[in-house]
Amino acid sequence: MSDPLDELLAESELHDDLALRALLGDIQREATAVRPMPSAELISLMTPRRVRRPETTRRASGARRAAIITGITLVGVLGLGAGAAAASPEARSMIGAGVAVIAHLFEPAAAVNAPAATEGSTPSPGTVQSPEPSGPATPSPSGDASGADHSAGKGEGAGSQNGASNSGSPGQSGATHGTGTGNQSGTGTGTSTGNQNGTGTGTGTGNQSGHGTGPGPGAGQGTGDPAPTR
Amino acid sequence: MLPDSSAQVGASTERFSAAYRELSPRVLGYLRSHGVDDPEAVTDDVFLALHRRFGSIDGGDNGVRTLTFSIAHARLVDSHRARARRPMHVPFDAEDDPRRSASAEDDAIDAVGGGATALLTRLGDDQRQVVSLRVIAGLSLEETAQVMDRSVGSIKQLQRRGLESLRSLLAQEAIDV
Repeated sequence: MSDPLDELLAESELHDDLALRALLGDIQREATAVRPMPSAELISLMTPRRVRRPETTRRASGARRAAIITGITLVGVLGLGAGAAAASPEARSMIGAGVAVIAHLFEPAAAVNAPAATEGSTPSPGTVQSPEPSGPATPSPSGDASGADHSAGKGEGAGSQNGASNSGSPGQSGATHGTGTGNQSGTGTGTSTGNQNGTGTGTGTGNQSGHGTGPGPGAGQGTGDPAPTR
Repeated sequence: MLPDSSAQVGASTERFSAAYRELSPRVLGYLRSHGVDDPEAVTDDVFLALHRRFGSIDGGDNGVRTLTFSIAHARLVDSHRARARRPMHVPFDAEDDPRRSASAEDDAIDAVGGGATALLTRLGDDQRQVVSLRVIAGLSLEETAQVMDRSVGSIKQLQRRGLESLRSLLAQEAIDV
């Protein structure tokens, strides 16, 4: 194969021009005399390296591990937050007050006006008055309130109360009226604002579910506002 | 049996390194002969772009060379367009600066003469591109036509005019000396 420069001159019918041939040779030599220095990025591209397949596996297991750690951390943080809120009296009182406000908003007018009929102890905000002992519930043709009753109603017997209820008196009705905000379960009679589940007799405002027997005396109030109705 | 992927990667890296060793001085010379600003950086950019497409090149070594100078030519056109958009600056003439010290590139070019490339810069753009792609890059007539996106006939015509201009300039230089 002939020299590219000779070929070039021949294509242009200048193959006999020796001065031009020498000039083209000089141009070629001068232009290619300087070798550029590659950048760091190019050097890295030109550096031989092996494909490491296990690294991919390690990276995948690392991602899984990171997800597990993140999940555990999240659960821990949420648990700490919930624990701190439950342990703090301020947080409890704030929650109680909040529930009281909400319960007050949904209270029927009769329950709001009930304090006039207060019997015995004076209700105070944030307290649940202990109901009168009522004994076991007796079946009554008119008092079967099974299922969920989301209204002010009467019921007597065992039940559970959800809502803000404070300062209960254990033993008065064979029921447990605990102190605190939360769920209250047991047997009792009373009027309450909140959720009442189970079997009970009394007058309540809120959600009531369970089995109830007949009209009967009910005492107790939720969140302090309503007075027990009997 | 499947070929070892690490061997393929190694072979590709070696091939790219060989292409850089062979072609980078030519690319730099091609860009310098057209007065590109910072030709070293543009050369680097050309080979980075080449590496991204290196796995899909057909045509063996000729294909690599053609693609390399296609990228270099595109960068050259971009550089000229960018220069045309920039405001006019009064150039600093290093020759008139007494504090001037020659760069390594200047020293290397001076060591091999340097006058021949100066003659090349006196050609028109198209003629200079054709002659430099043929002489500096070492491309064939067809490959030059492919890089410049022109017909072989027009490249041949530009080449002939460029060589005749060089011959005239050479004769003029001889008369001046």
